[in-house]
Amino acid sequence: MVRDPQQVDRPEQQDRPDPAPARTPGAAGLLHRSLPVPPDALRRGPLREEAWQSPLRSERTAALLGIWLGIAFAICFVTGLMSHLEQNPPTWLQWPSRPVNLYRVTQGLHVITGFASIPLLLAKLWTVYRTLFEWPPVRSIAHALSRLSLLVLVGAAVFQLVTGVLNVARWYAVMPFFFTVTHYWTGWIVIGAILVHVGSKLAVIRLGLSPEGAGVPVEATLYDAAPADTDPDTDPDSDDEPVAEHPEAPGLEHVPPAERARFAGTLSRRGFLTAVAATSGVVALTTAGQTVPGLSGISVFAQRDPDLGPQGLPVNKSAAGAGVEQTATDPTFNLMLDGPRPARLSLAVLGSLPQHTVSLPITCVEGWSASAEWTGIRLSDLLDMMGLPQDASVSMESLQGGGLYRSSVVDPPHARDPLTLLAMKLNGEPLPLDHGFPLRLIAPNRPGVMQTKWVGTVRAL
Amino acid sequence: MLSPYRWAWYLPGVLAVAWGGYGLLTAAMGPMPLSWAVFFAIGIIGHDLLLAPITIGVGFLLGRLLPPTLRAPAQVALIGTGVVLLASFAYVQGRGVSSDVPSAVPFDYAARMGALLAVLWVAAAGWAIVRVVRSRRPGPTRTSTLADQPADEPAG
Repeated sequence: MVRDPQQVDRPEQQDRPDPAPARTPGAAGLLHRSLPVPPDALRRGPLREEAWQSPLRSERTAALLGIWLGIAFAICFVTGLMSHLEQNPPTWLQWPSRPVNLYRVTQGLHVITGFASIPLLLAKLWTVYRTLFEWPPVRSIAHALSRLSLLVLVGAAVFQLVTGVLNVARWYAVMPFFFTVTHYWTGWIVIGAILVHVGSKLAVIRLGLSPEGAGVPVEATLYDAAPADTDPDTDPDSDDEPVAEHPEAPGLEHVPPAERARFAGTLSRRGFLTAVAATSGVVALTTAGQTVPGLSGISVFAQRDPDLGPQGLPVNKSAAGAGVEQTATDPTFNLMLDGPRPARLSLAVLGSLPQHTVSLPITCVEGWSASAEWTGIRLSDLLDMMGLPQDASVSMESLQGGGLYRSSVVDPPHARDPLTLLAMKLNGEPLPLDHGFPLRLIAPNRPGVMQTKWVGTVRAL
Repeated sequence: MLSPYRWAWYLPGVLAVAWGGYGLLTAAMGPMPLSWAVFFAIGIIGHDLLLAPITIGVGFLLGRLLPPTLRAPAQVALIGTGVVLLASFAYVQGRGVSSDVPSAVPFDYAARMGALLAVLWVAAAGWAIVRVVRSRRPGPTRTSTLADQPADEPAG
């Protein structure tokens, strides 16, 4: 059914409960003062309105894709923030050690959702691509700022997905910056730009989700946030004409009859959205198997096979890569306990201490995870041996000579958790060198980069 | 004056963007703002001036060259192909392979990508055959739930 587009409420009217009667001069007026319109002779190619004819580029499509994408990016932001806080806890926060699999779930979700966002972002950008060529290109200073904000949003969103994929594929060399830091801070920019974008598009989103929205093509709706003191119904300079000026818009009615045959048999809006959603699901499945049990067989783009690696467990940093092959296999190795009661414990002494076996996952920040059985000494027992109180934090220091992840801080929730071990065995066998021989930290709900391998010193903080 | 509704989105949004920008400029292991900006710009240019025009060009040709019954299956297959290529390109490049960590990126991703695309195109071909067969039957038929609906129908 074709609705009368004239019935479409004006978004700007919906968002203004108290329209002011008169124009207010000043900064707002300057921002919204119309700039000269370039001559029509320059309006060629994609700048022509008739250049954009696909009925799929409707406000409904844009709104639904935007909502899906917003949810996906929100999940990525929250899970990414959790990962950041766990690795860089502020003084007021001690990350809990339970639930055991919390980080496994959140970081797995982070990467899976990021991959699933790829088709959503591309479809959203395709749907609104014509607004890149709106005419006139700049109507006012405020309009220019609005377009600039979209540049930030699009650029940051593309940046996050591209760098995320590159990092998961371990193609670090192509990124001329430290991924972790950049991805984290750009995440703030993306989520902020999304909030600003949603705020500026509330009315258009509402329109897109209304029954009329399916037939309203995406137009130059970038700029629908004019000051409340202008009345778009009467103000000739108003930029607030996002949708209602295209009453002939629904479906193919805006397409010249000679061109309509080109769209026969093509996807409907619902079909397009279904295809995008299905593609998003397939992409999620192609990577989910690196952390979701049972899916590894179909996850063709998984970074890892959870069962592949020394003793059936993947490795992220090898002993050779860390440069510890000699020091870790030195027969005179002693674990240094640096605290109120310092001590040096040989492997024989460590082996004679009470041993415990726990089942815990290794969870990489790159999204893969794999469970294993670890056997070793409870960290809590060692801290008691060092004479440390229950609320003490310690530093685990590796035999590595350097590197960002040479050491990690273990706060009381993890340090005193009975599941936290200095492991000497993996799946019943002596710990392989690449998994951290002679000793490695293994604790619940903790990123893999903080499960320090080749531990040489436990130091009280 | 902006409405309170807008401020509720704008204020935290602007603060978050400002916080992110501040962090990028001052982070301890600074991401080298220039290299970040270059990467940022490449992303925008790569999409707006390369990927999007190619996509639109392919869509245009699809509407010109294929008969209507084949268009929707081809659209779905092309959407899926594009996404699969983009999602897997970094794996297929194989730059993450490291001889001392054989368990990392351990698969033949090019072969896996090819297999996935083959499944996709076989499924699309099957769908296309169904549409062609149905279109040749006498009387009004519905070829698909994904295509051929009036575009102006306010569905869903």
